[in-house]
Amino acid sequence: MTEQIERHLRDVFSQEAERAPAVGSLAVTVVKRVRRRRRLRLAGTTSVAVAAVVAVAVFGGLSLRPDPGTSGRNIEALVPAASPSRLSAPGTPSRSSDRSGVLPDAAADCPTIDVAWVAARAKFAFDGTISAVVPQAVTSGHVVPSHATVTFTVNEWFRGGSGHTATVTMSSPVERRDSEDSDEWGPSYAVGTRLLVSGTALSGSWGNTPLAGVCGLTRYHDQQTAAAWREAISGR
Amino acid sequence: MTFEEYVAQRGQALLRLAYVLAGDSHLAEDLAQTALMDAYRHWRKVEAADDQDAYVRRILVNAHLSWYRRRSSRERPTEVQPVPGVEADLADAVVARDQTRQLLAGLAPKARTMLVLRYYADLDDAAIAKLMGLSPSTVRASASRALAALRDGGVQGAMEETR
Repeated sequence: MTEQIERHLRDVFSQEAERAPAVGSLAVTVVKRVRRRRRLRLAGTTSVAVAAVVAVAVFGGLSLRPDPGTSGRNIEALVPAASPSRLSAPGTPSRSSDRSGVLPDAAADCPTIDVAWVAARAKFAFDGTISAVVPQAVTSGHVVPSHATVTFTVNEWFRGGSGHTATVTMSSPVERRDSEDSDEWGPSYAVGTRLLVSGTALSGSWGNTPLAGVCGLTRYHDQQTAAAWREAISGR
Repeated sequence: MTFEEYVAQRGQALLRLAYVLAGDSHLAEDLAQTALMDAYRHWRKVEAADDQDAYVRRILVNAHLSWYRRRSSRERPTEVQPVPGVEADLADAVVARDQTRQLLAGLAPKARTMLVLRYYADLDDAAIAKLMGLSPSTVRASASRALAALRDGGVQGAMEETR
């Protein structure tokens, strides 16, 4: 049994490695960065030394006299109050986006899985609109950049649930062009995106959160596909 | 061998290891650059090392584990175009791999790193131990626990569903 898992792991890692970015001009980039840092460090050291010399020259012979108007009071530096840190709002899909079909995934080989396979294997399936995205799924105290925890307002259950909301683990959103003709880029999904979601695992390796599948198991909502899912998966 | 020659020969392999470790293209590029910047700064030492790959790999793995400790900001993943066409067996394999990826992502970073070094980089436990600054027995025990966690998490089931 362990041998099978080991073989499977080799296969999974080998597939992952195929998707690594190309090396390109890595050596040139690295050399430039190292040299730039050296220059900046050198410039910083020089500036400090120059400032020290100037300070001694300018202030060395002066005596400081208190301002009579401020004696006895604490003078507070007029520093603008720091604006409260704002959580960057999750990106919203462009209104002009024409998003349909399979939800893109950064790491999966993505043959399109058809509704017959989904109907045969899915343990859960629903039509939902994203209400929250936690960009990095956190488990056991460490971050996981490859996955996100996503909460949906469920519009319709096809299988495996009945509540108004559903929370699943999904592969992290990827940047994609809104359409082939567009120069606008946006995340593949965000708050407000409506998806058809299904998966074959009701619990994952953290928090018993179901895993939304890839490659057609999770896709952008459209009426035709929703109808096909309704008929094939829920039998209505 | 010059630094540029080393990167030309080994850079892609290093990037692949970084990607399998990090699971994200931008992070992988950052990791590889971090490791190579360190190597470049100490190139004489790297050049003189018995195993240059092991030296650079150690920097990469340490940078990877440091990233988890610092929880640095997430890089945006790159776009991937879907590939049309499917057969049921391929769909099964895709789903099984996806579930395994998710289970692997749920492991503690050190445990996952050990599995990557064993089953992707094909290092033995002694080499992994030296690279991660641990004892071989710790590596064996941790890897064994990680495999058990995958088995309990359903990897076996996911693989069987593909048959």
